[in-house]
Amino acid sequence: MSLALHSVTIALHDRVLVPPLSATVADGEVLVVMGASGSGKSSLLSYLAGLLVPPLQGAGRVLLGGRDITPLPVEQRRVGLLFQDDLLFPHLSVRDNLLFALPAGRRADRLAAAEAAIAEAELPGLGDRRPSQLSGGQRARVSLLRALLADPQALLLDEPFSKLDTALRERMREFTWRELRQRAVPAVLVTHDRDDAPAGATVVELPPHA
Amino acid sequence: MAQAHVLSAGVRGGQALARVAAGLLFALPLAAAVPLALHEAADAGAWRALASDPQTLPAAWLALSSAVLGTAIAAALALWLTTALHGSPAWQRLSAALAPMLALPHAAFAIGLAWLVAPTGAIARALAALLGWQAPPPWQSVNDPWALGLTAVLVFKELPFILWNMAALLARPEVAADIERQVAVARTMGYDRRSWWWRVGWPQWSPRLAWPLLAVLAYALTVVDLGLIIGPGSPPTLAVLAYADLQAGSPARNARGAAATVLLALLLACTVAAVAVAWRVGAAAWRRAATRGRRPAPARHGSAGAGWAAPALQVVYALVGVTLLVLSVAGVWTFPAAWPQSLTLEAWRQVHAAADSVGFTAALAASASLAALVLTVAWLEATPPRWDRRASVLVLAPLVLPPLLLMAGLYQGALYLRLDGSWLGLAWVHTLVVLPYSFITLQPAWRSFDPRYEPVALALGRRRWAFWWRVKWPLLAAPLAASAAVGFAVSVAQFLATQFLGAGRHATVTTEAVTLASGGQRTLAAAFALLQALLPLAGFAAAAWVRRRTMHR
Repeated sequence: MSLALHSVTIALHDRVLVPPLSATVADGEVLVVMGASGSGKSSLLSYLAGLLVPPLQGAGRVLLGGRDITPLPVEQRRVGLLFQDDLLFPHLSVRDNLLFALPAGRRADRLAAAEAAIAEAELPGLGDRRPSQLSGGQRARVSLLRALLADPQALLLDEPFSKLDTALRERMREFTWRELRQRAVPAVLVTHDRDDAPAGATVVELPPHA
Repeated sequence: MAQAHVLSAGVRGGQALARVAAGLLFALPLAAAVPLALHEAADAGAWRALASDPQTLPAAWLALSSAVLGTAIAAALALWLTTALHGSPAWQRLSAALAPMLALPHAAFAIGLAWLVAPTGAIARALAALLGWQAPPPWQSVNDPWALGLTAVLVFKELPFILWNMAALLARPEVAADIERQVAVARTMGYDRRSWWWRVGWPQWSPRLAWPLLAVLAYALTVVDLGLIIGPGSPPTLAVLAYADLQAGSPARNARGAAATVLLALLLACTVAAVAVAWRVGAAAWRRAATRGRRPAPARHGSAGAGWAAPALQVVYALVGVTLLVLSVAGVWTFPAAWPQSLTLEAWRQVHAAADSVGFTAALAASASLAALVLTVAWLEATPPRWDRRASVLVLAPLVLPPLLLMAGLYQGALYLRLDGSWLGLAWVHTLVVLPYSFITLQPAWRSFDPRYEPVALALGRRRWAFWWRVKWPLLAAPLAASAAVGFAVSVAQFLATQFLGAGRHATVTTEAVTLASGGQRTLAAAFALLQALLPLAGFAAAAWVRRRTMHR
């Protein structure tokens, strides 16, 4: 299920923020888009996810496994999104947050999948905790796994490491790239920090704006 | 606290004074009112009389059913409208339309709606023109024995209030940002916006609506003026029975009325307990259903209903307003005629003759809103923000106590102090009722005022009062005026406070309108109801003028 971008551009009013961008991201690989704040890199992700709202305008085609998803609404694109903040639902336990993301199915299977994810997030026995009772690093891991449990065919990462402190950041990067490789999900990462890019990733730099 | 060193010792004195003032003028009367009401009801004979009265049980049922149904339907409609419209331009339009609806007092709305749906009213006349009726239909649409008319008024009047609370909550910057990002995450997982609301949004935010809903329920359960205007006649609701007993001349009936009031408070407590249990049980089941992982079918379009529901609400309010206007100038108007055969200003001439009650209403409302504003500002100036939590519990108390219980107790207190029937007692109780609204409307603006202006002004060599007078209050003129206008409107709409504390010696446009409407004098009641609506509107217009002026500076 590779992700392909064909001449994707973003404009605000008449000003082009992101010049035509074409790229192909294979399963488990990461496309890194670098740019300063205001360069339109978050808007690029919004366009790929189907969330771009006027006055921002996007153009270009997005293909997922060869299928053109550009005309599809957000709900049917199966493109996951991860923000700087974990955005775990604060009133739900860790387990319920994960169950929310899991596709419908037999309850026993879903519970087992949630428990497996809790173990993977290194949170044994903490499934009943509320997000506010977890540390920042724990929350970030649950947030990533929640996005992946929804079974996306591509994942978009909007500076997901920038709010973590330096020691955690390195661990979280490794955790993220490992999970993406294991699940063979293509990903697009936007960041202003070159260190966020995994080794061997394709890096695209957006032009700075005045 | 960066400016802590600037605060003089006088501040500590100010804080003590604010505490004493809040205690003596606000907390003490409130704390005394409930035991005083209970004391009057602590009479075995009164409870026996209440139990043996065949009206008690049906009256209690009518009060409970109309209050619970009215609150539940209004809350359900508010949830549905918000779910369908939030985040769209229609939501902005609806939010903007709420203020005038809130400004129309309950009694005025009930008087207008009663005539709209009456067998000889506007709707019946419109149908008569279409269907060729010559006689009024045999409808039991006003004072119906099931209290459906009363329930309808409650739904229409409380829906804007609940929506306004929701709009205020959802417009908070931290909440608004959270909603949009949570919706974005849920949508990328395959849930549409509406299913996010039901599965995740409402379980998160609806607990914050518990206080306003409790206030609505407490009000609805013990409302008297609406019961008199549009409620059932025999038996009426228990609140109307209790009110009649409390106003009667005999101590035995007074005691029975107090017992009925306490019974209403117990009904409220039981309802709240039942809802709390249902919430506990229901929340777990709801969470289970919400996390089953089932995604909604794509492309469901169902907001069309909500799209017209919001304008429909405005149309109902506009119809009520027009009805009151036409009714107030109607002369002879026989049944099938769609328009009065003659128009007359007789009602307005009588209103003019009763100009005293209009002036009295305005003076009372102005005094109460000003006094409440002074107390609120004194509190906010003299106390640190961390005290606001404690204050807000106190401030919310008069909103969630059943008004009938509160007023019966305050009246007992006024009797002890020989303030019953006095202007001072009346103004003071109006101030008590207005104060929560002043506080709620002023506190956010006051607390978000940039605290650095004060050390800047003091460092420039100005005294603190000069800073308040020349800098802070002018900058906060718009919220001050808005708060005063809300307080004015709340005071004008008071019925129970005026009837109890005025001891029948003082009449306001509201008590006049209710008395006339329950006595069947529709034309004159409509004129007073219009005044009841016009006075607050004048206040809100003045506040809008202040806001525009300060914005241009």
